Amino acid sequence: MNSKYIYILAFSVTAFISTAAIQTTGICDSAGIKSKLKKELIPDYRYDSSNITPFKSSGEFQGKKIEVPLFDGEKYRFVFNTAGADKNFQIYISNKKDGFKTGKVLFALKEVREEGKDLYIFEPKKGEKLYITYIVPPSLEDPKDFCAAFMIGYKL
Amino acid sequence: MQKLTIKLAALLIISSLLYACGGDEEIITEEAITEEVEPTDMELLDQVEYILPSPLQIAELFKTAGLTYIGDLANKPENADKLNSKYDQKLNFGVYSADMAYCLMNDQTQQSINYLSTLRKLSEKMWMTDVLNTMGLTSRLEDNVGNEDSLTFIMADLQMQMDDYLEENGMGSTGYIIFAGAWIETMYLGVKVNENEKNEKLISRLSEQAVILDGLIKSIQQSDEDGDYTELIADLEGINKHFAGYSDESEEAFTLSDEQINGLSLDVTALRTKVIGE
Repeated sequence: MNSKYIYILAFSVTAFISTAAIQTTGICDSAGIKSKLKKELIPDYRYDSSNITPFKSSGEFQGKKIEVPLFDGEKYRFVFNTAGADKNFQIYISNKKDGFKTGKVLFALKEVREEGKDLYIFEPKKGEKLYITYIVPPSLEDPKDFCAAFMIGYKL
Repeated sequence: MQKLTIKLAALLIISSLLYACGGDEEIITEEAITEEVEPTDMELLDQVEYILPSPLQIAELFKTAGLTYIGDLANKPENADKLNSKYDQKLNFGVYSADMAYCLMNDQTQQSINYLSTLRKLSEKMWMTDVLNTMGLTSRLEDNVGNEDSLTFIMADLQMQMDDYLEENGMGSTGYIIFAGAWIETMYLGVKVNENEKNEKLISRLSEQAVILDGLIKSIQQSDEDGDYTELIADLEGINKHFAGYSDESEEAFTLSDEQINGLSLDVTALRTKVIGE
């Protein structure tokens, strides 16, 4: 076989393996996670929105901030799934974009975390713009994939 | 950020030394890292992702505020045949979803079924597949005709399945465009019903949309890598000017004045006319 073709073949196999690896690590079982979260909304709350964020713990600090607008006078339920997350993974909900600085922290996972529990519920007292912050602190352990997820339900 | 890196580097060095001395200390060191990182880093995350509410929720809020049914207000199903570009199809998928919700909430069963069939046609045009039928929506809707509460739960389920479908197929930006279409149509229905008969509660709900419009614009901007949505962003920014008096920081409810609501009505109507291609 011509060496040019060997290179092409080798490149194709490598590209295939890399793509497969990316797809595998990037995939969260979104249908499975959402179905688990949705059970916590039934029967009183209707699905409003959801978000799934894949993380890979590493030696680096990682985080994400998500803005959630809520309407005045309505009732909402937030359900979080932390399955597979590192024990140091943190979730905060604040009513201001800069979190602790000028706002109130309304929910902190560290305050309610329980061994073996991976679903957490938060019901805001009033409809206002909220900010969810995920924090994945640097880890000295082997890199680990997990999917942070939440679903919001509303009740009129 | 540099400060944080120095702190982390120091902690990593200390933890390595502790690890070399014995086993248990590693855990203690990790906890120490967490303690150091927690308080300040909420402020370090500048990039924000925006969550948008379901268009159905907005429609239901308008309905409870007095959004009555006016027969010829919603878009005509036959207008869907004129939509050739994927962009127009996505936007109008949102428009027709909002129209279907409007009809469902007002017991207009036949009209809802007509919109469902329009949405299925658009779905085939956009994605080469009838997503709504795959989700079993048609049969579930037919089985629950007349039961408004069940129908709205089914619509909420549809929203979740659509979100799943778009997410799993890497079409997050499509979701924002569909939402924009649904939002424009729901706002149009709201301002027109209010023009027909002034309704303070509805005006209050229309004013409250300031809470999400900024997030919608930023979501589209973040996903617009190729500049395909520049015109839509500019149009939505034009609408957003009417909400200039709104502030996240204010504790008082924001309500548009009569003059402001008239200006909003004019601009929303013009944008909706452009979107549906009339």
